[in-house]
Amino acid sequence: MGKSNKLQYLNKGVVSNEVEVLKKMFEYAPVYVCLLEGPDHRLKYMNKIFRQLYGGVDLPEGTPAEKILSEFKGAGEKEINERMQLLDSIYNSGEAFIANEFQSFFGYRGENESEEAFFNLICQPMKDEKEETYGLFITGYEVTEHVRARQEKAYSKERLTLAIEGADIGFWETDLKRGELDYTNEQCKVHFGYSPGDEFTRDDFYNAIHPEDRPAVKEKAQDAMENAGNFKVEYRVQHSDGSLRWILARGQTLTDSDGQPYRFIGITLDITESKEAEKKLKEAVRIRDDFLAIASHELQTPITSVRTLSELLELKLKKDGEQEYAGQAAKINKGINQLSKFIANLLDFSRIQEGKLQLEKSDLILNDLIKDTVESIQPISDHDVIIEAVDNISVHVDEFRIGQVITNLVNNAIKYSPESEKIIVRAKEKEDQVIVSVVDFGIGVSEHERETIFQRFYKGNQPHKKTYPGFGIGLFISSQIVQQHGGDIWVEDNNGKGSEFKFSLPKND
Amino acid sequence: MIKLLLFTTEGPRKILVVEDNRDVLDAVLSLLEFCEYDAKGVTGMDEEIINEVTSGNYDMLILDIMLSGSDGRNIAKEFRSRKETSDIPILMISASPDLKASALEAGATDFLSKPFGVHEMKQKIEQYL
Repeated sequence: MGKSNKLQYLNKGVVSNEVEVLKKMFEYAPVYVCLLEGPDHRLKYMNKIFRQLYGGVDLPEGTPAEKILSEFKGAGEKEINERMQLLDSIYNSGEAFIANEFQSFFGYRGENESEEAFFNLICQPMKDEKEETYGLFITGYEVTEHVRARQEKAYSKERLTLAIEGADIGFWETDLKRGELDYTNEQCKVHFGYSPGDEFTRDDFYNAIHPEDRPAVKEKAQDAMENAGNFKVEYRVQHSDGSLRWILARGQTLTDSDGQPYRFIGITLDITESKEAEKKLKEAVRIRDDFLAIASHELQTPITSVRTLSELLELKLKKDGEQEYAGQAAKINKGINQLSKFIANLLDFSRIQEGKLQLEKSDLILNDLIKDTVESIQPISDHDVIIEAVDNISVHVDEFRIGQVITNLVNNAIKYSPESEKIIVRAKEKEDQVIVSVVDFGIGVSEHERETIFQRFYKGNQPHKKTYPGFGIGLFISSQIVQQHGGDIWVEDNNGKGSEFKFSLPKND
Repeated sequence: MIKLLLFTTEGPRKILVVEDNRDVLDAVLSLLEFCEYDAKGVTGMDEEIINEVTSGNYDMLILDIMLSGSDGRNIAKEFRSRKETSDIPILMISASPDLKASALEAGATDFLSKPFGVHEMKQKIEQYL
């Protein structure tokens, strides 16, 4: 028995049992069901979700359609008339009305204001044995989310197109089954030296790439396509006018539901300007570093003779009893000493920048190195530098460089603890490492400075406290030296009484 | 003969300075003179100087590494290989502290990086004389 026949019986009350069964079926069905009777479309039956469209009110059987429609929030006179005309025309023509994504602006769903909704629906005239229409059977389901998602996708695509064109991004798509570029936007062609509208194939793409870069691009693209991976490569493109452009290409392989790659899509960007800027910057840095290295090395020679002669002058003046002049010469010497330390630091700094700080390692007893270093500092300092070292720790290090680190830490400790009298240097074994620490009782290092203090050009500067002149690269150089030895350098608080600078070195086996 | 022996041990110790930069050389010579050493300076090596050294005229050498036209390390090697100068103290000086290890390897007794002060130089020499 066909559906419409069944409904005829339902309408005429022939099989009341079956009607109840069908009503129950419809009542909780996830589709909208409504039966209207007569030329003025009076309500015969409406299922639960249909009622919910206008708030779930149970309208009595026989309610005319015009009244039903007026129950919908947001249904004005115009909308009601339109719908009534539609129902009339279906009823009168006897032709089923089928609509996909039928738009309705009727307000529904509780208290909500009028909301746009879409339905796929069928309005089927019900006919008696004389083929005369006596009612309408309306069924449908909502497709609002589906329509919205499709619209959103279209908007996204539009936005993407706008973004791609606005940013001069080239766009390409490759069909992996045919192995052919099947879409490139105009900008992409321009990137490869072609004009918009030109034909542009996969071969044209590879041929435009500089021969030196081509194998790498092919290899990376192949890898991304086969392994469903990402693709990022920079290469040069030779245009027909002879100019060379730098292109950055990124791509991604799309896979089907079985995980099989089927499309390879991506973008191209012309990065020539940034490449050139990068090159110029590198060149400028190289020139600066070269200059720094040459200048500081060249300065060493005159400083040597000036330092020696001015120190001699001071000694001779003292010997001759010329105390006033000797004092002035001493001031000159102090300046020259600062200058020569500064130049030595500059030279080390440029060596580090150029990666030329080479270590000349040898096996030695760390305690001896600490002792020698402290002995060279002690005569020129008022502080008492105390060594608390464990005997015979053997290390494989660059004697000069590690001596330099210890000197730097001890000198800093002296410099930043003018009110105290002692500095402690310790060396302790800890597992497979040796920890050297320099303890002072000075102004200390605040917590937020403990990380930055080892960065280049950092200089301690605390308000209300006396600050000291100095080019803050000593700690940076020390940290580089320690790191090159496979160790680490850090600073701790000396129980609120100063600071404790520590560095670790791998112990000799 | 006895008189001569007494003179060489009790008189000022003789030091040869090889440094190609005239200003640095003069400064080092002034320093040595102040410290009461008998110093002679040259800006480069020649046959005559080598002969002076090998005949035992000097008690110590102060040798720059980067000499114009030659490498102080090769000169050190040369003296070390000769029987007469195999144990003469050689103090090598350079503006590149990195060269210390190679200087010692070439036979230098010690190394001092430029710029050095009077105190450091005096201390180094006194260690060997």
